[in-house]
Amino acid sequence: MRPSETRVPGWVFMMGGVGLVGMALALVVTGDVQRFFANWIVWLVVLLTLGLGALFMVALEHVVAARWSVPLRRVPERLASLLLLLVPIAGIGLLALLGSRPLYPWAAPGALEDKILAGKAAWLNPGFFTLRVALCFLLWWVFYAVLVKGSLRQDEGRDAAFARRARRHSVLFLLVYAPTITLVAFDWVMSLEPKWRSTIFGVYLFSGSVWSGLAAITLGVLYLKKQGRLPGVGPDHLYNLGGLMFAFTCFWTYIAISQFLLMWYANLPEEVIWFAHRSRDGWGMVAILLAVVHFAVPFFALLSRDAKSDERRLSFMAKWILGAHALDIYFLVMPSLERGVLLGVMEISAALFFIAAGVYWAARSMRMGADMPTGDPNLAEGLEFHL
Amino acid sequence: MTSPAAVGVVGLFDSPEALLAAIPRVKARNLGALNAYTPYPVHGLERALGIPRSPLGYLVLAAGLFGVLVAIALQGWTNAIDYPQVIGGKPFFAWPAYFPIIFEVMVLLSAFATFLGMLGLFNRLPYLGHPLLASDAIAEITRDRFALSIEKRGEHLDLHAAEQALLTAGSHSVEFLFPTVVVKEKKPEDLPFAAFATISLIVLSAILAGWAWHWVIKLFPELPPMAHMLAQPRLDPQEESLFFMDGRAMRTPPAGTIARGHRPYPFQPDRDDEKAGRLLANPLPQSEKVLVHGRQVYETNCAVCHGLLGDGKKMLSDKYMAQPANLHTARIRQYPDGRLFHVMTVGKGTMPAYGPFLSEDDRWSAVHYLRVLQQSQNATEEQLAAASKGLVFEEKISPFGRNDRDVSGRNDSQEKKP
Repeated sequence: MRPSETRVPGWVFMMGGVGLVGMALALVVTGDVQRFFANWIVWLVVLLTLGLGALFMVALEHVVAARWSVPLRRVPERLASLLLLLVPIAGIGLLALLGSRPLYPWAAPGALEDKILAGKAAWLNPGFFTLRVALCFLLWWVFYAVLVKGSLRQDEGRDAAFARRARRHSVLFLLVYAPTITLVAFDWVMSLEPKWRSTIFGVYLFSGSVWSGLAAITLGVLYLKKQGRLPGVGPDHLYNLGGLMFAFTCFWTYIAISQFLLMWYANLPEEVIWFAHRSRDGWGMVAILLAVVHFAVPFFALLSRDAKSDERRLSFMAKWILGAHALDIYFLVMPSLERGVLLGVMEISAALFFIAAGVYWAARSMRMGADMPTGDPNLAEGLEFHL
Repeated sequence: MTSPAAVGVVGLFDSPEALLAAIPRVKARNLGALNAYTPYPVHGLERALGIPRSPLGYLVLAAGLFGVLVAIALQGWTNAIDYPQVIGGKPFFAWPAYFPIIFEVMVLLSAFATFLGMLGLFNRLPYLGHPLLASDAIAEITRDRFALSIEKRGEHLDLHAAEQALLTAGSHSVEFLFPTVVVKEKKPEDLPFAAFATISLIVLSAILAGWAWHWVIKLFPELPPMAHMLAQPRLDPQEESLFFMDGRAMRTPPAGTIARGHRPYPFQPDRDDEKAGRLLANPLPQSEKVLVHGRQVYETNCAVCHGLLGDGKKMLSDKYMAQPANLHTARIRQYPDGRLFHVMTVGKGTMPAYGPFLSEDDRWSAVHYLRVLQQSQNATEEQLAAASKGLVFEEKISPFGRNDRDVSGRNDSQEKKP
């Protein structure tokens, strides 16, 4: 295991550079601050949900005392470091946009003259919003430090009590994770249309979070495995990752349908308006595309037993899933602007830049600690895992 | 050799590792069909035995997709084609509403395909008595031992070689397998008949149950399991409703509106009685279909006040003060069809307007039926004699001895009896 071998490929820097220049150009030429921040939100949520999904998988392993995933655990631990610097930097942008007020209707000047928005002002106001964002980041950092740093210390043999403590703290993290990801969904995304509400929205984002987290973990495992850095990890470990991705494909669909079906049935104006925004002006086609890309393709591609452990197919589907997750968040955020389907230099540049940033961060994180949690007493049992 | 009839040899091992280690060594001898029996699933066993991947998944996939199609077809056909009905303002083919059923039917058919496919196609059931079940080894296998058997494939099995192979592979206890008693007595030729008899019995009992249920529902419609069809939350004609201020369940449309399927009606109550009688003509033929429908309309809406015979003897309580008209008076019998239709439509005195509740065809049918009622109560001797000529009276008796035609207490043959 030679962690320092991870080198960030050159195309990542080129891609990020092109994206950054493109974004800056688009912003300067059009002066479209609203669109710029909408893209910012999309990619902030994509990276955040991915990192949180990874940390969720770490905590889940501790809580249910899973053995099969012990040899793979360093990958989600490393990916969770997205929460450490990258996402907070993006979060500062989120707070900055509150100041310029182009995106969130409840933060716009004159919002309080609207009776409904005035009624929600106790919750949706810049001060409290900032406090919640800060609180969320603080909680995630604490649990990142406890779960991931503790695991690294365990490798060095300095923390024998970690195994027992990790389980208790993971339970706490799950209890924190549920409300904080709901806050992210409600505050950052749902309040783009502050008069609309959906109680299942937090669960919706949760499903996408774990789904994309699993895809990123799979990519990381395949990457390390290809370099021979995960000896003993075989097709049966991959099969479980494939199975979980398949399961969360169905779970996301179930939640998405649940949200849509009830609102479609009741047909209440204040509820269906959100779907009206997502079926007009070309967004209807995006909705169908999302159903195909986010459900139909991964469902049938991951259905067979072979597909769940075949490295080439898994690698392709993991990338596909990350793309589908980005499309999902794009579909949640962009129609709220009521400006039709926005796909231009700004969107492409933002995608290039943030994908490059994510890949750079993920690749850099692969240097962290040993490739397997060598200090974990269950590592040997995890390597023995067979279906 | 203890018996030439032995069909296999089974050897016991102490651990799954010993079993897995023995398999390749026995397999190399190629003596017969290898099978392993374990108290719990042992990882890697299929791979070691060379058991191919089960094709069951494809069957389940096909059944699941078929279930999706069945559910779409069922809901689409019933909701959009056979009985189109607007529900909640949704289109007839309201596909989002179909998702739950599509999902359920897909799961149901997949589960059936999995279970029946596993039992029938891949486990080849009914398999009456596996030789292993009659062995001593089975008690060990269901407890804590792991068994490997070499079973007869085709005609020949070298029992001695098989025994040696198992012992050299590390088995500590080897036993011969004999066909069980059940298999001896039940000849394979008997199986088709047994299967046929079983299926016939199931089909017959289903038919019998369906026939019995049909008659139970027909004869006792108020029996508890079906009673919910009688007690519905809908409001019936003349019913009281606490929901509305005036306590009436029968609602008239707001002023200036016309219900869907109705037309504007030009005549006023009272003032235009005579005019409507002169200008309106009954568009319906006096056919049996119209009369049957007219009777239904009359008995649902009119009979509560005017009586089943139209004689004004109300079915409602005597506390009801108004005196409904006797429809057999000379005056009313002389009214043209149009005037009767007009009164039904706009009402008269205490009688409310029925125009909003009944379609034009309903009202015209009721007019025809009213004519029949009038004829029945005022027929002359000659008319009766002419009508009953050549008629044979017969009572229709149901299997339970009850005349099910006479549900209303009114005798249909009144017109015909002298």
